[in-house]
Amino acid sequence: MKEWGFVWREAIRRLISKPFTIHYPFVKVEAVEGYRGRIEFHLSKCKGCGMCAMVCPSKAITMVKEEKVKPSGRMPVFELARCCYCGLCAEYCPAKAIKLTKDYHLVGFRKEDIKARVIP
Amino acid sequence: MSSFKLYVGPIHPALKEPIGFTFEVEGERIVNVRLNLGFNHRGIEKLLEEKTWLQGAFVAEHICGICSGAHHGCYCQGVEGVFEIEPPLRGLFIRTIGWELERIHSHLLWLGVMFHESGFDTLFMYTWRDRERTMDLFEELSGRRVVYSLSTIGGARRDVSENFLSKLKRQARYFKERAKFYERLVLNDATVLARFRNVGVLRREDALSLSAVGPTARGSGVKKDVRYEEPYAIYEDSPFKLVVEEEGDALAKTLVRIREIEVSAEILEWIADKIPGGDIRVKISPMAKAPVNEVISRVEAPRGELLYYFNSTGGLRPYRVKVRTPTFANLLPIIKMIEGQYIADIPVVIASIDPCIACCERVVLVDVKEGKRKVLSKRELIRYSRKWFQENLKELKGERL
Amino acid sequence: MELSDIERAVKALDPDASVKVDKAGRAWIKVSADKIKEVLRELKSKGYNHLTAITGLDQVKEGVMELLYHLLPESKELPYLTVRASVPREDPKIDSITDIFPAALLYEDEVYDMLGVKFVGHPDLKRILLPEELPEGIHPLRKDFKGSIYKGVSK
Repeated sequence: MKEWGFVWREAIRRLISKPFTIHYPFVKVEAVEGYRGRIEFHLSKCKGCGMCAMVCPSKAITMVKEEKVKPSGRMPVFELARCCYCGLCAEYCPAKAIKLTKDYHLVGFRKEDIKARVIP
Repeated sequence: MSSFKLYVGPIHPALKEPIGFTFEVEGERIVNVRLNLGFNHRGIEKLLEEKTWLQGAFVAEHICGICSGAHHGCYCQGVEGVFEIEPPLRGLFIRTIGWELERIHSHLLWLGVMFHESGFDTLFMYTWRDRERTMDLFEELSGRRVVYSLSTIGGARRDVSENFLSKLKRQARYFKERAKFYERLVLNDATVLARFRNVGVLRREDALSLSAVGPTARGSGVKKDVRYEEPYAIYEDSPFKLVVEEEGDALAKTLVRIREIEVSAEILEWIADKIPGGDIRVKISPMAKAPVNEVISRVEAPRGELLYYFNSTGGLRPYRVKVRTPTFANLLPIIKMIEGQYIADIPVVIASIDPCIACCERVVLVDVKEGKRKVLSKRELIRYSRKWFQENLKELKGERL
Repeated sequence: MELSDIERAVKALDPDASVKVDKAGRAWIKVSADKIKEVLRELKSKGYNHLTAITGLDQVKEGVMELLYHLLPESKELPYLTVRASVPREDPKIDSITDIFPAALLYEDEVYDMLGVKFVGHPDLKRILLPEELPEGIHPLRKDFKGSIYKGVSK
């Protein structure tokens, strides 16, 4: 038994209701609280233990020499082009110096333009 | 009748498993098919031997973009078996929210793809609009829309709030209504029936002997589902029902997946009511050493049974990890399903086992007698199949409708 | 039908076989490699009619390659079963089971491609995941494979 007019009724209902799409570049869209976006790093809280570099699955964190950090004299450098935004570095940092923000506009013309935010 | 070979090639950069097919064709009917695989091989099994037990979970979830939650959860379940720890009940409930929501999202995506292959682009837009609601729920639950790492070794990573649970219940009711709409549509619309009924039939004996898994097997009357045979996590107490159809054609497989959306929405409503309090994870160090052990972990992904085998000789890293994805087990049934079908049925039959879209990207038609070649892109193949059906629908009416 | 009947049937075919059940309730059977076809045929007649996967394992220290066949039963009473067999690491060869389980076609191709185990009696043994022009002897999942030695196709 076929039902006639079933698809026509649905089509007319959708024609008169308002559209579902958001015109993105002209309308600003904000991500929800807790989104895992660009990395933010607080240099004053870091102790240089190297836990973030050991835990990272994609080897995106390297430890370099930096005298301002006590007691070990090393600080992490983040390579955002390799990062997979899993959040393990933020979860296992004992000093809570790493945070993943709501910023998802990770675009640029060169790889070096996409950088983590370092707060001294 | 001249017979010639049709190469349906593998070139599509976007999705998980590009596959190449070579069809041998006589007139408009297909006689034989050969498979050509390996275009997206990334060496993940070798890579997992160099990562620690915790890092491997975040490598395994990148195997597939659509069912990444199933891979991630299956890996974590297996490693919990190696370390012999039990995650708490609240953590298992949160993990199951991820699994069932992902099943709804994957089936809605597949439904849109099937409608697009058969020429009904409006419904492709409708189903993908419904799918946007699952992605908004995931963004709130875990922080990302596509590759959401919900679990970890020992339980779940983030807790859920009461606000989120009431939103989940409301959306589950919405998904149930939409599943009923799609079921009514598929059983009543003439275009859909002409493209799906009696197309790509897989008989019950072939499904059993070729070891098909997932909705491909359940559409042919075989009762095969990991949640039914060996219930894991919390499926033993949940309102889970096995969905089985008898005919074995593309219409039966569509109905199985639409009804599974309803069953998943009911499980989500039950979870939102009955989730217990307590911890969400067991603490374990990220650099822990495992005992000597051998474990198999099985999970029902949206496409079928997913299997992970772990072998540990003690230490920071696994000795061997083996991954068997469900699409790999469903490739051989294509050979049985495509015999005797028209060329214009190729997109629908290959899409009905739910692979990635990538299989049918570029088609080369070779006329052997005159030595001429014609290259069709995917859009032209779909346009050719739509035009062919418009011209020949009247003759097929007796056969198909 | 219970696990003890299966144990008796397998030991009648291969007296050195050993059966054990692990903590999750799954059964593991060890047989010798030349009896693998009779054992699998017997198991298929007792209700294990679904071959899920074939795993290859390179045990360097013991000098063998192990093959694991994962089987599923038709009824819910029987446990999930894995059959293991070992072949020597130099020149590994074992009988193909494609006439008992047609689903083994793709699984045996993958084990040959990655580990170099030859299946005697397979209708068309070839590389499926790696490029077909790769020379013999390059099998990446072996433990003594040093990566990045492939420099190009030599004619």
